[in-house]
Amino acid sequence: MSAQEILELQKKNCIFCKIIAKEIPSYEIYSDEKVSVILDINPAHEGHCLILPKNHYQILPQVPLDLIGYMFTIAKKTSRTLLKSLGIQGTTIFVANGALAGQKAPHFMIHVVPRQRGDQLFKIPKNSISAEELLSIKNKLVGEQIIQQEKQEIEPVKQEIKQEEVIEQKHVENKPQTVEERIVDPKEESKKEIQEDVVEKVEEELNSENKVKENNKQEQKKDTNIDDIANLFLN
Amino acid sequence: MTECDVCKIVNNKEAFHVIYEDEICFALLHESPAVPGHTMVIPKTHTTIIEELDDKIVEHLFVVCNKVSTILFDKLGAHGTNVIVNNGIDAGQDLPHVVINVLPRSENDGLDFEWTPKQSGQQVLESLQKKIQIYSDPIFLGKDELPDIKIQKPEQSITKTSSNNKIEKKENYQINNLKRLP
Repeated sequence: MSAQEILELQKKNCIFCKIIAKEIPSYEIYSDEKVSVILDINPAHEGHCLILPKNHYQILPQVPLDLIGYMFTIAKKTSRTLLKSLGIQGTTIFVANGALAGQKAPHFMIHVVPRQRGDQLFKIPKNSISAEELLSIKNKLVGEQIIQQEKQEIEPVKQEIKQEEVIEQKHVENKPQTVEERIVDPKEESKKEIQEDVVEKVEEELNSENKVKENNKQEQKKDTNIDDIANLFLN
Repeated sequence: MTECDVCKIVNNKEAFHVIYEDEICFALLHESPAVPGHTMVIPKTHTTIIEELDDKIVEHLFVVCNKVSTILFDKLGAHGTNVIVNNGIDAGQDLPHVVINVLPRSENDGLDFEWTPKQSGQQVLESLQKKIQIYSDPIFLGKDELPDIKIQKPEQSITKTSSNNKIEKKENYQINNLKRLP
């Protein structure tokens, strides 16, 4: 079954898609072409609202950006409505992405929950963290990109300096290095070939089939050497 | 007028772990996180509760929250994320500035945002629906004028004594950080 077929099946079985299609009755507060706001029938507090996109999305990152923005302006308005109509002193806008975060149904939704003082809901604990761990998390989240940009900025400058100041050295050192690396190895290989030829001549007398094998091995050796060089250059 | 603690962060970003910034908002790592990777998305303009923010800013803030959420999935290997905005003192809001919390979630991380579902009867829900709709129609149509929300907001004066201590701690923390540098 393809991913799309699974999604289609999920849509068919999705309770919230059925609510939006009005196959299942609900207590609707607001509806337009993009979203629907309904009362949760199993609320945390009475007046608990759900903002549902009319299309089926599983989690926040799948929702188109303009719809994300729109849904949260609706959440803001829902929150304001609840504050005014229920005479409460606070609301919580809550999103759960993924089952581990407490998401119950595979249809993305925003919860707007009326709050009562001391209700102990959505308590965000404060824990201590070491400065090192904070910094390592920061580097994980943004560090890589920043470092890569810095590297790109620094490296070309160094190369320019080399080109300007050490041109002669380059002629003496760099060129032979690069060219020799390629040439020297084959020379050494040819030496090896000569040595191996001697061995082969001895072996030839023993077994002609071995020669063929040896040749194959030689070719394989050459191949791996070229690959190694190529890899070195890539590095 | 005393400056809000969060606005102080805006003017002193170098001392904090900012992971994203643009003209409208910025995202930074919480200094006392619920879980490692706990990120706060904060609008630069001073607003106490989200209802007072312009729609365009709200749109932008949550698009950034989505970005942060995606990064937490990709880079920290989170198995889920929560986006939480607590509005008003009764909701547990402790800073006098809009803060959106984005939390990476993993198995046995010690967090619990589950609630015990109430079983509301049909009549209760119907009457609630009617009660709410009286106010919802003008608000959703944009015909409701902004002021006159009677909500107890966290004020600078209330949190001032405790927040001053916090700032001192932060300064000490920065000094300690400097001392640690070779």
